[in-house]
Amino acid sequence: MIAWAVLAVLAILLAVWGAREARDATGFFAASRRAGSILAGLGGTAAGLSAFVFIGGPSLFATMGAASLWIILSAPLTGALQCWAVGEPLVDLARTHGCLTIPDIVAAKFGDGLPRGMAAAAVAAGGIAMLAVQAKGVGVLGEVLIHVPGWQAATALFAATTLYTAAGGMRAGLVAEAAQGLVMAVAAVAISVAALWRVGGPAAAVRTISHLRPELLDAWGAPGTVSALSLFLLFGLGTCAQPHYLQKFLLLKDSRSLRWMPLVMTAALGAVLTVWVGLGVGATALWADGTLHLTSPDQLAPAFLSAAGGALLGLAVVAIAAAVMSTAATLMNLVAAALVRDFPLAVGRSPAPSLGPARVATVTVCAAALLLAFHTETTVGLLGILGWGTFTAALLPVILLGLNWPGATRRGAIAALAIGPLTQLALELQHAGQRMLGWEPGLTGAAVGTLALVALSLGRKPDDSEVGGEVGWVD
Amino acid sequence: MAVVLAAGWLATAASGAALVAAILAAATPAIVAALALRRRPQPLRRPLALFLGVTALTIAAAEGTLFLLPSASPMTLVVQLSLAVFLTPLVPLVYALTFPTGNGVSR
Repeated sequence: MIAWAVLAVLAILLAVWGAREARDATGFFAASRRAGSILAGLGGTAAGLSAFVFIGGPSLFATMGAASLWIILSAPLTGALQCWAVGEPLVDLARTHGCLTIPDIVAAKFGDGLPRGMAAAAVAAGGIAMLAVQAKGVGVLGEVLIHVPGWQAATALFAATTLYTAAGGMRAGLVAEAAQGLVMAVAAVAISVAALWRVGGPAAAVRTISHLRPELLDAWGAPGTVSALSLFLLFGLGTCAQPHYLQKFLLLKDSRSLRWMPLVMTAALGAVLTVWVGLGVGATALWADGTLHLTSPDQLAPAFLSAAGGALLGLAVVAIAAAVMSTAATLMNLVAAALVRDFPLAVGRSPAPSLGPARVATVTVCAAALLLAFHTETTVGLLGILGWGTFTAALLPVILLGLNWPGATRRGAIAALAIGPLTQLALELQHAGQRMLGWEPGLTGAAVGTLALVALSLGRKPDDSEVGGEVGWVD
Repeated sequence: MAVVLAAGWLATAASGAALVAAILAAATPAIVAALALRRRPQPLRRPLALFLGVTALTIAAAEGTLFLLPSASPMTLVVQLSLAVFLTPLVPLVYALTFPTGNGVSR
């Protein structure tokens, strides 16, 4: 109860400060463009990492073994790849066209109307799905760790997040995210060390798994080489299409901040991902030798932490709450921006000049995500992959290739934005991904979207009249 | 870089037809995109080389240990994670030392 009270007080203080600072659209959606490499790097990592890492990651190790590590083995690369391939063009476009959102960027490159509207639809759909992941993760945590109904824990945490996000937008959200990123990094390392220590050290943990569950140590795992490789590509390249990562480039005060941003991002990412390996290996060894009793791999992290108790349990609860809140704040802001800024601009209307509609939209998005979270049976890990895949399928072609290729046309971009997510959704619905050599549906959607972008752009020069100067609503 | 790439792809090719098919499936859009970019290859050339190099090294680490040791050897895990730890500071430093890369040109 004391912890909830402290959380509420901090959220109220942050909301009051944020409401005073974020007085216009640039403040609310782009944190007044005052972020440097440390703030944006920590914030981006915190927003990108979530309950999926703390709960879904270790559970994926218990399910797939070493094959699950292909999701995180691209971690050394992703920060530099993002800054190099998409960060620099994004910062440039944000400065020259006044972009505040990812659909703004798409509109700046490919013209307003359909490209903006379709990008906004992808952000809204994927954002709601990923918010539901966070709520579901909190639900699992609440039931196992603090013994309250999952929906109650999720509602309480989301209410605190919504309070400061609705009041101060990313001006409040970014400050919170940077602090939450630090908390997550410290806690992840501590939890990993504790998990491995309890099983007798890393060598003993691996020996136990090797003896009792040897199949988990296969580098490619039961799903096979193709699935493992597709996970590596999905999460390696997919970071270039995740709007909650990309948004941070729009918050930078200048392009020089990009130089050291990958180092900050990768250091924070590496520290937090130790929980995937340490807790995954340690708790799986405890499950394999019968110390932990589980009915589902999703319970792996909560069950271990619950058994550990004491300070470690408290630290874990704070870290997981930080992970959920940082991701949720950014996603709420992104989806709210899509609803009140990008959809109106896409149909030729001006967004409301005040921040009232954006604040109402933030609250509405939170409610929608909570409803979705407690009406689906999909596990946390798989729901996370589904949300990530939607962003990848829809946005990777137009962001990664589209921004870097002068020959990319509006027609090609529209085709890519439509065909990519439709392909992914079709494969997800029919479970055809497994039949296609195990190739991940989000990655397949991105590949098909890339082909569509190139095929429909070749032989046609980009029409300069399609691209506007400043985009939409600039303060 | 070419030697690293060649070693990586040769190692992966040794693991069977399914992986080769997957690489071909992944390579097709990449090849088409590369053709589309051929008139102005500067923006994505170096990040693409970085991505392919790290990917090839990571796959080669897994395949190399699988080739030398039993399929469920703990050494595979150790080698993969050691490579990740080695690359974690190296790749961002490469970017920082290369900055500014010239990929932020106004368009």
